[in-house]
Amino acid sequence: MTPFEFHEPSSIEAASELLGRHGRSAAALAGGTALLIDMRHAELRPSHVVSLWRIPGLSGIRANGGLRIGALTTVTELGDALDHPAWRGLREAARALGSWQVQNMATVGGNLCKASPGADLVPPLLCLDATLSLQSAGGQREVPLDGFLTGPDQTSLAPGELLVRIHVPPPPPRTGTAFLKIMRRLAVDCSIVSVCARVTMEEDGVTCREARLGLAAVAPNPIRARRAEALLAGKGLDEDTLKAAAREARAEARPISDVRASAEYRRHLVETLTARALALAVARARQGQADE
Amino acid sequence: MTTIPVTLVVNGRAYSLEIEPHETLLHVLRERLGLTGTKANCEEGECGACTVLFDGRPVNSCLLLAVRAQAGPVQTIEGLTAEGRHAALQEAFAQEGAIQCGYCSPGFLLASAALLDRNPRPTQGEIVFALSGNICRCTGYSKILMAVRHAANEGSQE
Repeated sequence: MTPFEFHEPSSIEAASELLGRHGRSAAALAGGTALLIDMRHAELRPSHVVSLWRIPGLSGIRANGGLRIGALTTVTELGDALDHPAWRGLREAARALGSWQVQNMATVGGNLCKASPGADLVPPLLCLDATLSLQSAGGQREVPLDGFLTGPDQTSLAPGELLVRIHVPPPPPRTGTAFLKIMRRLAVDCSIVSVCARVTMEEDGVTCREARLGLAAVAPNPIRARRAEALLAGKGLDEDTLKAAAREARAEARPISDVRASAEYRRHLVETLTARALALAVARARQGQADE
Repeated sequence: MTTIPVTLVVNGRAYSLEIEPHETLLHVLRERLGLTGTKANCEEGECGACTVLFDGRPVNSCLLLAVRAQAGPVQTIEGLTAEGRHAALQEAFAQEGAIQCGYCSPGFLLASAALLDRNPRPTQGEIVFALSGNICRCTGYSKILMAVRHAANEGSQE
C-alpha cells in the first residue's frame, strides 16, 4: 500500500476542508473494506486519508416511524435494527453483504458512496424512497438517493462534501419488501444480479397502491425499473400481472457480460428474481396487514 | 513518511508503538508484536484467515488500519488460552478433526467464539452465517460445523 498522511478531524467542517483542499489526492475513510482493497491493488493511491471516526454523531440508527441512519452505521448494526415487515428487504440486503467480518466493518454510507454497480444496500433503499443529507463546510443539502449515483465509483458529491445521514420515510401501511441476490457462491461475493421489490397494497389486500423495483449489477449503478413499477400500480396483483412486470424489468436492465456472468444470463435472472421478490413482498405486505 | 504513536490493547495487554499510517492491524500484529497466530493470506477480506475480534466483533485485520484499532480492544488467537472461556470450543475442534493444515483455524476459532459469546445455542443456519467469511483450503467444513455444534451443546450442559 502506498504511504499516506493520516488525518482524524473531529468535525464535519474540518473533514470537509481537508477533503476539499486535497481533492482527488484525498480519500475519506469509513469502514475501509472497499478503500483498503482499492489501495492495495493501487487502483487508488491517495496521499491523504481522512478518517471520519472522530466526528461525533455519524453512527447509529434512530427510528422515528421512518429511519435516520448515520453514515457510519455498520452493516451489522443496520441488519440488527430492522424488524418491521417493510424493512425486511433492507435487512436481507445487509445480511447478504460480504461476510460477518465485513458487515462488522463496512458502513451504510460507504456502501452508497463507493457507487458499485452491485451495491447491495442501494436497491432496498431505492425501493424505500431514501433521501440523503450531504454536508460540507459550506452548508447542507438533501437529495434523493435516486440520481445520487452517477456511474461506477462516481457520485454527485461535490468536492469536500460528505454523506452524513440516510433518511427513510415512514413506510405506508400494508407495505412489504423482499431482496434476492444471486452470487457465484452462497456468500461473500459480488452479485451476479440482485433485485429488491416493494409493494404497498390498498385496504382490499388485492390491489397494489404503489410498487418499487430496484435492480443491481445490471447497469453502471443500481436502477429502478420504472416501467415495471408502473405496470403494478393500481392493478390487482395476480400471477399474470407479476409475470408481466418481471418481463418488463428484464427489458429495462442493461447488463454487461463479465467474469461473473453473461449479459443474457443476467437478463434471465432479472426476470426470475423480480417475479420471486414481488411474490414475497406481496405476501409480506399481507402478513403485515394481518399483524396490524 | 512520518510515524504516529498508537496504543493498542491486544489480549488485555497495552502496547505503545510508533507506526506508519498505512500499516494494517494484521501487519502490526505479525511484524511488530510477533503475534503470528493471526494469518496473512488473501489480504482482501475474502478468506478470513486474518480474523481477530475488535471490540468483541470478528473483523478482517487486513482491512483495518492499525491506527483505527486503537478505538477498541483486540483479541487474537493467542488470547484464546487453554484455561479460558472457550477451552471447550478449542477442544471440540481437536476432537472432531476440525483442524487439518491449521492455517484457517485461528480465524474459524475466533469467529466461532464470537458467535457463541452472543448466541450460546446457535441454529445450523446461524453457525453457517457466522463462518461464511472463513475459507478452509482443506475443505474441512463439515468437521468445523460439527465442532461448533458440539461446543454449543457442551456449553449448554454446564
